[in-house]
Amino acid sequence: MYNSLYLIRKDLILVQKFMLLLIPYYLVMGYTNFDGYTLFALFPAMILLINSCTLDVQQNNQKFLISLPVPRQQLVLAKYLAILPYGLVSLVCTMLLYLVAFLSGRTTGPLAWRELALCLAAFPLLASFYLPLYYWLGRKGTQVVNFVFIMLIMLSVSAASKLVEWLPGLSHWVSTGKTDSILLPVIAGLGYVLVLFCSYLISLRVFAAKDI
Amino acid sequence: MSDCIRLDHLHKSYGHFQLQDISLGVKEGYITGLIGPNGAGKTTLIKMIMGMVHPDQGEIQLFGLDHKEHLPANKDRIGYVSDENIYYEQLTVKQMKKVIAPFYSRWDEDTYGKYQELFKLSPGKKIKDLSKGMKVKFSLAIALSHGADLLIMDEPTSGLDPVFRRELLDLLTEHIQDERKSIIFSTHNTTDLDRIADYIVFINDGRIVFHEMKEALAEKYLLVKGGKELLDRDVRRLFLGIRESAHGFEGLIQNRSEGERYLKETAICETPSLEEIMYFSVKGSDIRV
Repeated sequence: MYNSLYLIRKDLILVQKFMLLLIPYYLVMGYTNFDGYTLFALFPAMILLINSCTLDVQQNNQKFLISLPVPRQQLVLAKYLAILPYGLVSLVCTMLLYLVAFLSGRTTGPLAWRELALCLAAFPLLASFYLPLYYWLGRKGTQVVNFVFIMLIMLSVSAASKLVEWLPGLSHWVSTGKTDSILLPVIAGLGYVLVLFCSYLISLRVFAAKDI
Repeated sequence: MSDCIRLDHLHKSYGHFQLQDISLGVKEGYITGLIGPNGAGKTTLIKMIMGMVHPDQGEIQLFGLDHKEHLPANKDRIGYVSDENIYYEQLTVKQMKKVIAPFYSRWDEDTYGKYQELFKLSPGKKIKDLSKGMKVKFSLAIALSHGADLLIMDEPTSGLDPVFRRELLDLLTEHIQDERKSIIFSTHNTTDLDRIADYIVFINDGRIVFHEMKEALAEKYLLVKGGKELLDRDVRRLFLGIRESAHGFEGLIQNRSEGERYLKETAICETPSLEEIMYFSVKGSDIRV
């Protein structure tokens, strides 16, 4: 378990300079497009993940990771666990942006925490598609994987609005916080966990069998 | 004297290349040199020992333990120096060390500090700004700072200046003084191995040609130089490889006593260098200049 934490720390050290770029991103996006601020929780988190994954395959660095006394299973697990700090960084930055906007009078409404939660929840779901592809295509396919991932990000924005249209219950929950049936959220939650778990198993199977 | 590495009937196929039926034991307490031409399979073999490449068949044991089951524990006892930079180029030496150190149970900060000073590694310098030699020095400082019982080095001397090359070889000789530590060292520069290796494993075209003590090679092989008139059909059969020129021939005989019996009186018989053994073994009997 400690190894996974050290691997996450390694990822954070690698992306720490990149995180500085989030400051201008939030400033520009907050100034020009504050209305959709909840989406700001999704994009930076995914970019941090994509960045750390790209850095791992850029210069034979997977060879370095495999040379460490760490099972491959923990290398994969750490990539999935790193979703948490990336999501947290995005969440904190988005909430800070909201706070600044609120204090400066740019917005007076309460924090749209349910929308924010939905956007944030979309991040692990997208990562669960990205990571198996990343492990499968490896170094040579990184550019393809990244392209696919950016496409997924774009699609997720329009898919989110479609989803709200298709699922009135979801729309009702986002606006009121109330739900007519408990069954749907439970099924959705279980499906969500299942997708993540299957994604992890696929990534592990692919990476464990791979020659580096 | 036990084997720190035991390979049993390893096979690996990659398209046109095949590593075939590799079986060998690397002795504890010695320096074993892995020689062979480019593309012979040295790096693939090292990658299999490091768990980077999975063999299609065969078994690997390290320190008497099954490699598949005990891979992380085994790697905790291995210091690995790759033939290329495997570290994150955008990180500084200090950051990279900080990333690596917690993974090793026997990491020794004082030892690292000693090598950092000895190799003049600047902690604030980025990996990408280090020269090839400095990158090898950094790899070596890392490999020597966690009490590794086995050093696995893939072409560590390629691209190094002669001064550091000599220093590195001295350092390796010093490293195995306690007789519990072992080194496996791949190279195609045979002079390095002439200087420090105890055992030589020669790989060519995915097969082990020989695995011998370095001293035993001198007793086994014979280099013969002479006039072409000596080369009748029976004499040719003695040679593992012959290089013919307008002035005569030079050839390698695998059975030294037999070669001396036939040719000692009529030709010049010498002890071949590792390079000559490698050259004639790879080229065979079809060399003409």
